[in-house]
Amino acid sequence: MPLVLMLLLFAVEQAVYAADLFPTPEFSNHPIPQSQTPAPRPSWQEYLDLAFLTAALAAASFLAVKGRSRTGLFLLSIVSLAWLGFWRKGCVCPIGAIQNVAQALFDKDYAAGGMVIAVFVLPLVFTLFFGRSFCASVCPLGAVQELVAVRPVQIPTWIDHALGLLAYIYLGAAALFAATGSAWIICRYDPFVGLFRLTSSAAMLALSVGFLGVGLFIGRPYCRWLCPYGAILALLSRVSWRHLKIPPKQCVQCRLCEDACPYGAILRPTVVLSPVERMAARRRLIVVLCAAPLLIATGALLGFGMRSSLANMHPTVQLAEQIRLEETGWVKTRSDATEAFRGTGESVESLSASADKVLEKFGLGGCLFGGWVGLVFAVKVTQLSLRRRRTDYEPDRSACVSCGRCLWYCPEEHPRQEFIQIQSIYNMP
Amino acid sequence: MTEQPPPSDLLPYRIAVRTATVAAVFSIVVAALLLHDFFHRSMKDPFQTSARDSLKAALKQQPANESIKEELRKLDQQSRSEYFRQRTFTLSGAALLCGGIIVSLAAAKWAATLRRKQPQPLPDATQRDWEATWTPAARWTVAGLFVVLAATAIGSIFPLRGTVLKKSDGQAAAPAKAAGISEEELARAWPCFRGRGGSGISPYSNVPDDWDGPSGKNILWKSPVPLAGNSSPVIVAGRIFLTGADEKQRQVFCYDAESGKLLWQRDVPSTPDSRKMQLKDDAGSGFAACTMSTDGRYVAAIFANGDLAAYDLDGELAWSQSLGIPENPYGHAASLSIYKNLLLVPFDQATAKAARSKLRALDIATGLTVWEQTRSVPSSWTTPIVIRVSNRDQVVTAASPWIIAYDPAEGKELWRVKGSQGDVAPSPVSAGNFVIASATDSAPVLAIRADGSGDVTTSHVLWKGEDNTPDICSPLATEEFVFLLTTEGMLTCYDAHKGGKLWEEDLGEFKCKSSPSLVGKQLYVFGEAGKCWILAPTRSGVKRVRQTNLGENCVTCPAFQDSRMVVRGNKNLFCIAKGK
Repeated sequence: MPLVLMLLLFAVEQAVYAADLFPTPEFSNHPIPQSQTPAPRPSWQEYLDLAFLTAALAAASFLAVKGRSRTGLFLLSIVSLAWLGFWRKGCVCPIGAIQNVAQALFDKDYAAGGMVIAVFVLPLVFTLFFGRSFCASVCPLGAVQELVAVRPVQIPTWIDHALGLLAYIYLGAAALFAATGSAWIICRYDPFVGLFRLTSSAAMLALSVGFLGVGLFIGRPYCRWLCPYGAILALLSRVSWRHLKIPPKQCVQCRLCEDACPYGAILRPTVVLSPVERMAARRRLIVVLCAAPLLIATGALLGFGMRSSLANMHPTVQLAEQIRLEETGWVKTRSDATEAFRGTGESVESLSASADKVLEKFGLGGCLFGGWVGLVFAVKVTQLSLRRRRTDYEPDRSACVSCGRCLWYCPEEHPRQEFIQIQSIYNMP
Repeated sequence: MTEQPPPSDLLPYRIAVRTATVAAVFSIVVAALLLHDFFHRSMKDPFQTSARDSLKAALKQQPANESIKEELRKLDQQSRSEYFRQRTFTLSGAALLCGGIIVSLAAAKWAATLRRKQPQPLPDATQRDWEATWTPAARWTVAGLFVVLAATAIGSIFPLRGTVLKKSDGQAAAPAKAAGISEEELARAWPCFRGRGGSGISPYSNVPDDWDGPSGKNILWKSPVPLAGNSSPVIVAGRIFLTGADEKQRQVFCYDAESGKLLWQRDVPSTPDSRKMQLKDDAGSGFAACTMSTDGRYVAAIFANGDLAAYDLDGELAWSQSLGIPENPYGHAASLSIYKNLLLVPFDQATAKAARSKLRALDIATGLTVWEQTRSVPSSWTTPIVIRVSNRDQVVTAASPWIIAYDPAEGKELWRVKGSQGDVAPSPVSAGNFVIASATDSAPVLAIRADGSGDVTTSHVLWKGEDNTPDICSPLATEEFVFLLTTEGMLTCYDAHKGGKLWEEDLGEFKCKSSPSLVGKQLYVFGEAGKCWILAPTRSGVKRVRQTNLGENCVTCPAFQDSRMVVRGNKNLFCIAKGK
């Protein structure tokens, strides 16, 4: 299947790429068309997108929390994929909007539009009220992964927890690069946008195929371990007002849902710890809490040290480096970018000065980014050292994407949905 | 309770599985056709045909020929029709493939749903501590991930390997082609500061001992050096290499040894940081004091700002890197050494406590670090020498307070002696199985047996010489004598084996920064003003044979070839040969 998916993407890429290489006619009077900037979308279309997003979020929240309909959520995800993915080509995107907001916060010359802010904020608000309904069936990236998850298998919980940290690191990096005006890495490395737009570079094509191929057997790998917006939603979902529950009313401890979630988002009941275990857990927590500032400081220090490497993402620094290579004979041919720079008449010294200023920005930015990474690790280790009392099977509010897969497994749910009579459950051998 | 048939017996399940299978096979067939079409198209560009090329060539000959133009138009139209046909084929195929995959996925998902087994209640497990089964592993994994990320960060901050820059075509700068020089030529080379082993001894005794720069006597050629520098020439394969630099640029020069013609000169790449170096001209050694080194295939150069680069003999840049501006009060002046294919880069700086001094060995072809030793010594200006004693190759370094020998292949420390102090500039030399390490004018010169291991301060120092120890000029050692030269022109001779002072000779108003050389049995001592004393030392004293004149200031060491001497003045490069 991954091979077939790759071929599909490869074929469409070739088709579109070929159009770009179409040569001009020979001896023709055919006028060569001027490159034109496409007109912005009419505002009514933007409002329509916003209305769809709001309606989809509302529907997903209702279907997850009140309607408890896996089928409804699944069908909604297909509609969202068609609208936000293939029709809007992945560009009504709260995930990418992180960068708009980050750059708007730190760059006085950049302003994020109201529509972008609305797209960024709406899913956050819904999450605060109803959990990750955006991930459930509105996000086209989540939808495409949900659709290809034909035989998802369980991943060991400890791996899941460790890999889940990558999303927070990615979030920090995306914010850093956007805030410094370097790059919008979420958009640049979006693994599914090539699929939505039917065009992609070879590297991104391979990435798409990789994610889709892995997604056949490991549910939603991008959502769980890389999505920076999912990282924010996971934090908010912890404190959401309402959230999808596995049993509609009371958990009967039947353990039927124990392995139902392919995303490892079902928490099991815990046991009462003995005094010795409690003491050991407390000691561990104290050690971890003491180590937390050290982790943050180490991260900040390393981030500061990495400022030069990080600054290489900035176009000004890249241009200055390219100019240097050209001037010193490292490269024989000039690039379009350096030709354009030379055409401006600006001096190399002023370019170097600009690059130095960028480097200064990355001093603070790298420090904050490193500190953030340290904080993420500190919080995670603290979380792993905390023992909470649980009596029922519950969704892990931060990891649960409210997809509703677990509902079918709950014996309390079946009579409610009128799949089977309640008696038949309790009469089972 | 009604018995449910197994899912595989249900008609919907069978339909779903078969639909998924058929759709998958269909998708594979379509994909195969698309791939075949793609590769077919890749091999044959409809716009690049021999017929088109012939017509274009013909049109160039006859620009007004309308029939050729018409033929070309027809061909162009055919190509375009073919192009659109292919494009339609690809897009249709992609649509079919897309549809096939969607159907296959949907059917597979339907089948998986139908096959889903009704879960069975499990025994009560509420007493099992589920979290305890995975949280320790999770904590360790998280900690491991942090360590991996931290190591990656540290790796990016302090790269262990040299940077091999890439060329614009995306290929790593290829190692320069082998120069193709013979072993014989390699043996004749003067590959580093003061020649092979850093001895300052000419392998040829037929070098002229009489010349006069202003009149041109015995001057085979004289070529201007484009940029100033205190580095000495190195010679290999009939080419002379030296460096020059000022505040803005750093260059490598290559001259033809036969004619003195400047064959090429290259700007050495630098970084924004290294370009910022502000060195005062009176700081001491200048911007280009370090002598180059060569293994016969590449020549390498280093400058006061830490910029390091290697070129092939034709001037093609093999690699470059910046070691960072060294913290050095008089400017970095330690020259490069060579051991087989390893470029030995001394980089002593700051204080001993700071431990920022390093000796690196780089593969001269790629610039990749083979080994690196951190040295707890302060700034020094000495050049390491590569010697072989007791069947053991060694690279001997001198700094304050340690004279340390390393295994040049792996960087492992072999032995060390405590003895130097202050600002150490004279490089060590060797004679037989011992090393002469001169320190400063305030510390004695040491003769050290070079076959020890560990700290051999108390066991391997053969003798110490207290009188007239040099401050800048390196010693010169033979089997019989050790000569020391101070910048004030005081030449002192010691017994090489016993260490007793044999004699001293004050050369008068003769300031020296150039280390002495030995040709046959005569010493060549260049003074700063360009005068050179030719001296004939014996056990009982020294005879002043003559004084020659280069005609311009000279602080560098000469390089020797068969019947020739190449020496750099402050403006020109001179080749001195008999009978010219």
